[in-house]
Amino acid sequence: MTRPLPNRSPRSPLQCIVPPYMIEAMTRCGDPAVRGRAVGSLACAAAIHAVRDLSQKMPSMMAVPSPTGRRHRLVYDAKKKDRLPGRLVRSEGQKPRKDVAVNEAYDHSGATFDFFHELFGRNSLDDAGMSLISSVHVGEVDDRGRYVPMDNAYWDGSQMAYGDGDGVVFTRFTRSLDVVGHELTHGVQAFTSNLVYRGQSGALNEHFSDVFGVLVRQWKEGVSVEKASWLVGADVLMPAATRRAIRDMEHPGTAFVDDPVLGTDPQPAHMDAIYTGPADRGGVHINSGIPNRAFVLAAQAIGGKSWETAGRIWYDAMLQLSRSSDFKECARITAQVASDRFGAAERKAVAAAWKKVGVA
Amino acid sequence: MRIACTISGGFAGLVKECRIETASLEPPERARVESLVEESGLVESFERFSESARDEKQFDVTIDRDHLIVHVVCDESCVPKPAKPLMAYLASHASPAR
Repeated sequence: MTRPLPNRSPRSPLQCIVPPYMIEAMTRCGDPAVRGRAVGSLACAAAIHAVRDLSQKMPSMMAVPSPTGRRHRLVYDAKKKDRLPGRLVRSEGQKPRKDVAVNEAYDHSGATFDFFHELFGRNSLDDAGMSLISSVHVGEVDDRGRYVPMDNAYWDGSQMAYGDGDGVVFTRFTRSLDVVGHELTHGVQAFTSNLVYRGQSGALNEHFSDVFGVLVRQWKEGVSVEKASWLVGADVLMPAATRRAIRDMEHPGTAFVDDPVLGTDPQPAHMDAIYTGPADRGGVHINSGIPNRAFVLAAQAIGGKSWETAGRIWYDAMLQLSRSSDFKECARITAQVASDRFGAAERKAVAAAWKKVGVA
Repeated sequence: MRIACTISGGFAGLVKECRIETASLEPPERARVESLVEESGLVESFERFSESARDEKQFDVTIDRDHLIVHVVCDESCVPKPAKPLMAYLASHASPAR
């Protein structure tokens, strides 16, 4: 029996609709009615902040448990609005729908669940059988206040959200298994290292999501490292000569070049070019190019199938890192795990990979 | 009125910029931008991010109204609802950062 989810809107929490400075000003208003409502709003906002803080420290409180304790997928249709999760359209075990995005979200989240379960013995994101919740056809507001298809995919702290793209640069984000695997790996991280989403720790957060997103796809295809593709999000881009993918883990900085809409891929491939500005929370999607390349180099040096050895090393490391870990610590821990779990040759391959990208 | 905006992040991690000087716009467009700013309710600076969301877009917007400056830095889920059309307008006028 599927438990219905409460209709909530985590992307538009109360405290975001009316800025706190406005509410605070209202608490000083001479009108007692206005003052009373403002105080009530502040109390409500404080409660929401408390829930938010707690959910960050204890993400399990946001998890919807699987009724069977096993794989349990729920796919919702947001109907081009930004209110999540939307209307439930497919539950675990139900037959495919006519809506391709619904089936993609269902199938790809299932593949990602199976990947973590079969290879690492992990029972869902929280390792306790939480349901995998996806919303498709998520919308966003345009400059005239109308809803249009969202040009993005994101993890909101408890579920995945996928837009259909603008049809010019991006198509629907559910098309790509590595995108779905990426978003679900953010969920795994919320229950493990929970790397702070800023600066180098944030870039590692993005890095692990890219690594396991791509590994899910390689595992599903059964390809060895020699034949593996390291492109992220190739399936969600509309074809053009100036773009191949959203990221290229093997050759960071080359996924798109002089594209009229996307520009040129900003990812560095070496610490020499690390981004230090304020955009993108200190470059979380930019600097992930550095550890991404280190992973590919390590996987290529080790050989075989990337998920078997390199993937196992990175999975163990992801569980061992702390919230504030940086590239150097990630390099140290992956080398240590390689040595402990496999041996000297694997340790050497991992250490050499990090050295090649300037992290030693 | 001058507006400077950097939009970054999202799954794609793109960095785009937009600079608007309303004095240089045609009157209808100028009125539209000023209306979007007015209706946005952005009258005081703030910086706010969701702690648990990942892959959201980030907005860094500076609005200079006769040297009265408002600087807002936030991710998508923390954009006040009345400001969403303004952010969408800025996003649609942004170009890849150099």
